[in-house]
Amino acid sequence: MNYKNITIILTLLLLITFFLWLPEPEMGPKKSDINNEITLITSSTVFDGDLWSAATDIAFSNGLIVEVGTNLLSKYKNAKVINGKGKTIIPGLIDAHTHAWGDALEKAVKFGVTTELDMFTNNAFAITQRQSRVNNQQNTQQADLFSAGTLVTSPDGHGTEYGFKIPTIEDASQAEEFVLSRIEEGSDYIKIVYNATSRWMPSINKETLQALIKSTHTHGKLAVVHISDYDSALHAIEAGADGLVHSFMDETDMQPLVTLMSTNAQFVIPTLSVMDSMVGKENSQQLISDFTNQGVDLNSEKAQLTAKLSETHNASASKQAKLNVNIFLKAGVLILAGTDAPNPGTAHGISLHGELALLVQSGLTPTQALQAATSNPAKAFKLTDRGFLKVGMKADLLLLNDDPRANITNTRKINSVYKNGFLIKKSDKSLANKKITQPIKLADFDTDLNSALATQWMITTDEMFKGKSSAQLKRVNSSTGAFIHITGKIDPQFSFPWAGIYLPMAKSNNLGVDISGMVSINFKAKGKAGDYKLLLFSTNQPMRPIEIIFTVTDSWEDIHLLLEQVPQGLLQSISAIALVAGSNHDEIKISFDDIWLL
Amino acid sequence: MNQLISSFPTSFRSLKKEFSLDFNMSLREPAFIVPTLLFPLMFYVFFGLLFSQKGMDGQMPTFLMVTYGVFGIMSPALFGFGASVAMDRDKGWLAIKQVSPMPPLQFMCAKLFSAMVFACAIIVGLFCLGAIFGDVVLARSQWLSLAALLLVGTLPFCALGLAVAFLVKGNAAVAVLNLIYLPSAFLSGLWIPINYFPQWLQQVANIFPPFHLSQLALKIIDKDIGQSVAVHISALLFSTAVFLTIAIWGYKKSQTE
Repeated sequence: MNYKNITIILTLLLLITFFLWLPEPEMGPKKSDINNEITLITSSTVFDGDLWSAATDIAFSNGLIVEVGTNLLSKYKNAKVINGKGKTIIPGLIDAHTHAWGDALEKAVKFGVTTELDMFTNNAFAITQRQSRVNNQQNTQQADLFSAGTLVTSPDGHGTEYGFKIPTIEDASQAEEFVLSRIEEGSDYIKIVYNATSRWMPSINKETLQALIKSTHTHGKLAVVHISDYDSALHAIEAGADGLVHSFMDETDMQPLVTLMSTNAQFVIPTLSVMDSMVGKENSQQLISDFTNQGVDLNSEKAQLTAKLSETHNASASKQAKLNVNIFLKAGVLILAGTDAPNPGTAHGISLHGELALLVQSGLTPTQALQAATSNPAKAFKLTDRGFLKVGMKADLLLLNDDPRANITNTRKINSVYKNGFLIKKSDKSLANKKITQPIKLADFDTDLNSALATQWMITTDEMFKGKSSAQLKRVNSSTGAFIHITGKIDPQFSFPWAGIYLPMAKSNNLGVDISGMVSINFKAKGKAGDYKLLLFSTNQPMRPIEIIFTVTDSWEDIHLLLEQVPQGLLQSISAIALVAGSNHDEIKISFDDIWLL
Repeated sequence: MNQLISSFPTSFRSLKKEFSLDFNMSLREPAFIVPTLLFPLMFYVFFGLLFSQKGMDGQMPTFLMVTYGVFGIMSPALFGFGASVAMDRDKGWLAIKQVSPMPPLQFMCAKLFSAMVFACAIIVGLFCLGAIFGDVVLARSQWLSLAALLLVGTLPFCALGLAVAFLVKGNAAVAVLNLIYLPSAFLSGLWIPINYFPQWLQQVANIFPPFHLSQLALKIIDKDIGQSVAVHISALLFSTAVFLTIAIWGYKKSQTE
């Protein structure tokens, strides 16, 4: 062996050692498992708190947004993928004025409010709830809380009337000490109650207000002020308050105020929801029916939402409040959406959707309204981890079925809410089946295939179980409006063949509607003579639809199928109905019209 | 070319001799060694380790180790193999080789082998840097298949180098190869991950062989952009065949001259 061969052998040995040395992953969770924790919502319209983008993917993991972009599917192969096509994603909403206790935060998050800025609550509650906002990876199933804790008010002033004792401030000399004790208690910002003219309740005076704001700023906190008229607002703004937590209904020249506010970037939270309640204006019915149509049961909130702070309706004051918001808007003042829930007429989470609509009625564009509930509060309260859908931000987001730019009330069409990247569970109550008590039209096919339940008729065949039946559906116009015509083949080889049409009764297959109060299903039919079947799918008896046989001839006939033969228990949760031809046919050729549930 | 094939393999010893001659000659050529060995490593240190540790969820060092691997092995293949054949042709060395009793394919094989040894050195260097400074952690099978793929991956670029060498004269060949090498490396996403390119530019990358090799390599670490293996392999085979055809044509032409 010469030295060259030795060199070669040594080199090879070195190479082998090198590859043995190269680091390998530690045993334990493999990389793919970590990737599994990535959730990817694909090709939605995305509002990132600032701007809109179409067909955008959002990936989040460990409570934070990992990436926003396109073609993320190929990058995050092991991610849990949710198809967001046709849907809209907006950041988790921030209600900038609430009073939170009890189950407020759990309720709020179900309606997409993932952060509440509390403006006065019992400090014992605030202390226990603040920590969870820090941990991004926790499945909290509730909104995060920022809280002013105890508000700052004068003896017997506003805030002292709620039945629990709070410290109060007498004069400006106590300001520093008072602010310090609030900060020691954990207040995230200082909320001050101020009235220039102590009309109803005593108030701190202007000097105290100024001293309080000054002290608050010395300690690096935000000072926000509760006001209810123009003069008080002006005093607070002149004293350097960071924002007003209410607007006012005075009709007055607001120029001096709004000029100062826009110059010094001082914000306003108009809280139109509670102001309307104060002047007896009714806003909640629409809110209740919109959410009820989405399958959310608001029965327990109804009393709260329809209550009012005043029974006498003052329409002009309500109008003035909106005009004033418009003046703030025109002047470029930062506007934040806040409800003052749970004051009478408002409820946690729900009312923010009402507030957004009120802001749009005041002249904000839907996009500006959304900013008022996302990026604006984040900017105003210096919350750096939320309010935007950007990399590194909290994975707090709403998947909406429709685009709120078209109509701001589309924020109520919530498909799902994510808090810290965790899907918010729908409450058991909202899963309760909607009970149908009035006759409803399941279809007339005159203009489309939609039912009065906002679901759509479609073809169903045994293909879903690998059978070979096939069918097509067509709307046919006639002198009395259109009807539906189904043609197709029935596969005789299959053990239980079928083909026909199908109507989901609820948005989701595992949801049903309660039709136990109804008597019959009526419709018109004509077609190839023979026996056909009405199928009722009940979530209480999965995979085994209830069959009701009916006979059809080659001319139009009214058919009434009584539901009394069906067990009540099954009728309480019907997820879908179908009209089909079965094994006794080798082809399907039938027309239906005017399908009613009576 | 018939002569090329029929004469293989006559003597393993002369192949070994030819290889060590070529290898030692290359080692004495700093103009070749320095850019070939050091540039990929240096670029990787700059872009993969110093500037973008945090990028791609902390996966940037792993990602760029692979793409700079592709960038690295291209250089000995294009220059150590391709350009050096052109130089030899210029100096008349190729003519001497052609009339010598040694079969021409052995001459090629020796050069190919020395290009692969250089490629191997680059791979080892990059893996070292990645593992020590970039916290790159891969399964042993991934390390080994990456190395193997990169070694085999030199072949299309050897063919490309050869094609250019037989078409263009010596120094011009180096210039032409540089014109191909650097832009195609960049546009294939070897320097900056292809994922950061706009959609249309990602499409354009499909025409470059380095893109396909890098995607195959990235598949091993599950970071490719999701095209099928078959597409990449057939693109590489096709380009190799095209380059070889051109090379053979050029070789014949140089013989008749």
